[in-house]
Amino acid sequence: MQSPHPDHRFIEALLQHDNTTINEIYKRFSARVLRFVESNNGSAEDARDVFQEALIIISRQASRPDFILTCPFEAYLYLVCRGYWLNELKRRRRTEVTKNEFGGFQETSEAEALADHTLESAARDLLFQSAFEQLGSICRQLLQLSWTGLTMEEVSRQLGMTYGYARKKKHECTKQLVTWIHSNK
Amino acid sequence: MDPFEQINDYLDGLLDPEARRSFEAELARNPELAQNFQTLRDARESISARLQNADREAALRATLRQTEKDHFQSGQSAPKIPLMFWRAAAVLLLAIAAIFLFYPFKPKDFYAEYRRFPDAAFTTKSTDPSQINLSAAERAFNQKDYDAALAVFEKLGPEDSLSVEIRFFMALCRLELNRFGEAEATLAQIAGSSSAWGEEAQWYLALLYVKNKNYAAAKAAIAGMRPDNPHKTKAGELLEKIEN
Repeated sequence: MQSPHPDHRFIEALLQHDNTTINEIYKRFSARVLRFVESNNGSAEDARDVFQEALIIISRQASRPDFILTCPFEAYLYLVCRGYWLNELKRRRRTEVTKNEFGGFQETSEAEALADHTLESAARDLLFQSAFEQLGSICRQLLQLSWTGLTMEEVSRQLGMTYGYARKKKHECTKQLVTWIHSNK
Repeated sequence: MDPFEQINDYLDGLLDPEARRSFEAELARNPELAQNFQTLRDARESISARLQNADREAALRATLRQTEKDHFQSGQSAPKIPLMFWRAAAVLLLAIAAIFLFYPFKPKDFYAEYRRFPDAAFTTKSTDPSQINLSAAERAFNQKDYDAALAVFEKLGPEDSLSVEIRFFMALCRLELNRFGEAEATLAQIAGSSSAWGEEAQWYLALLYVKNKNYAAAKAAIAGMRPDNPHKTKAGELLEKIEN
């Protein structure tokens, strides 16, 4: 198993809400992201949102049990920001990123692979979350309770349903969820 | 068996070893089943993690918003919205107006158009001995024999001792049998409660008023629906038709 990079402390700071180290992340890395976004059809506000979303996406990825940071945090963060902004520009139907502020990193291939994987996971999570939000509130409540480990007897009691109806409803809800995901991939 | 029943039972660890092996063999043979299984497994993992970490993530966002105040200062203005966007929006609005102008005449029996009752499923596989066998009521309701279904329900005991689910289905029977006063009272009570049936009851209350041609009350009931009510879209369509 690979050892974590020394920059793993930045990952720990996001997971543990270490304000001092989070401040350091902003101080050291935000200016370059600001220049990048402003040079590529974005505003300071856009850059702020990109940076925040990238840190949230990284924290979600880092909370998975198999995550290890094996490259410099700087390169990883910038590549996630770049990928996020590229997708946002496509969504807004703007021109592609043309000005690259993100050259000159060491160990880029490892950071690129990790950033690509992170962005793919984030896109998948967004698709799943959107599908879940399309469900009616009974489905959402039922699945949320069921997926926290309660038995269907307990779930049906909490929702005021018969056991038989709750089971049937769960199968319908999961089918709806999967159907929506497949038709919106 | 419904494939999603198998998938859910497998993911919930409810299958015995032989059933697990049989399901795994079927996964290897059946690409559609395998795809549905993988999607549900991945979605469940992702959504569960998001729900579990929601508070932690909200706290992190608050920290980041506080920290970012001293950064991201720039003299550049925000990019202007291109003229093409406004032109496209204007064309879209004109197209929508044209559709509404030439919208075809719709039948006035809105109740018949929108009335789609859920299936009753009271029959239980639970081992809980206190569950009452309601298979006769379930069969009658699903075969649209609302008189027979209601007769079974009414023999179960005092209505206020029955579950919300049973009272909801009793109200639907009464709605079909034009026993509006009783149906309205039950649906209004369930709609006003915190029960999982509340949103269904709110929708059928609106349909009750439509059936009774009390359109003012129907509009009020639709306006009282929560934004995430699963019938919200249909209710919006119905509201437009009533108002036209």
